[in-house]
Amino acid sequence: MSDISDALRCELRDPEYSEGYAESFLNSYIATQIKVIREQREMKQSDLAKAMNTSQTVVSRIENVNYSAWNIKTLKRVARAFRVRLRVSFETYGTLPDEVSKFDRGSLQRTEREKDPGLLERKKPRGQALDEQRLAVNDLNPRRTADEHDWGNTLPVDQGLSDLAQKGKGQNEPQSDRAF
Amino acid sequence: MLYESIQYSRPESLICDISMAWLLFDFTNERGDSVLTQWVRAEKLSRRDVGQLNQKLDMLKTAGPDLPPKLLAGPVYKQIYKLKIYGERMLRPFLCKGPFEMDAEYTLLLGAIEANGELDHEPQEADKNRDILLTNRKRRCDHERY
Repeated sequence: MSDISDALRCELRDPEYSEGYAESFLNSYIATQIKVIREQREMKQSDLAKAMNTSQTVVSRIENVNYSAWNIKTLKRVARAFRVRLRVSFETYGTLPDEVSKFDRGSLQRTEREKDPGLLERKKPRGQALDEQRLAVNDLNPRRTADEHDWGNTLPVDQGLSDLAQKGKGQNEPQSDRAF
Repeated sequence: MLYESIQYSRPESLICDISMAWLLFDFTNERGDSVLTQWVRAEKLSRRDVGQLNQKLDMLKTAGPDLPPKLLAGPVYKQIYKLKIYGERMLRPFLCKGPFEMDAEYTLLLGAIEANGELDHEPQEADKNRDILLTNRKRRCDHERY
């Protein structure tokens, strides 16, 4: 699609042309993205309408590249129904050719909040996990500082808190009583 | 539990279908000129309207007819479709799928403008151009940007 991008870079220098092109692309982009995300969710138009608390006619009207009467309120309702956020942003014309050439289903799909990889808890770095284990042991016996525990070099970090908790609940408790 | 390993499932957003680019052609007159280019010039379309027209055609070329909803209207007559451009003037160019490679190309056949709910050219005229093209494959050229 580099032929389109190259031609556009030249054509978009014309103010009237660029406005016509960009506004038409905006309408096409929104309508297509609504359709793509709805299909990604395996929703019918009537399902989306129900989630938006509106009629299927409204959804059919906005899923149209020729629709141009967008308003933020409606778009927010669509975003809520898809459990994604709405972003409205002003952009330069120079970014348009790349957007046009990259326009496909994959680039339009968005994951809902519950499955959003950006929101999932990530595996903690080794040092952070060790710190948390030390804090957890202190919770088991708050009178003893973490440095007084014999951490040794053999405690596997991935062994997790469960082993430590077992120690704390079992033989360690009377021993710690004796120690203090 | 303080430490929890998480099984990451493959996000759906990473699953992309490969969209195939469509080829666009313009029907030509007997001298070999694109009838659409001639039409754009003859009608003295504004640059704004041409920008809108080119955007729809670029979208058809890059994304195909099925991804952008209601990009093509029709068929309005036999195998003739029309693009709708809601600009300063209501451009309604006629086109058909193929007619040779039905899953890979579109051919723009005739320019039309709608005013007061009426078209200045009928889709039947576009269908005649399609018939001419079917009998003479040379009556088209690569799509020209306007």
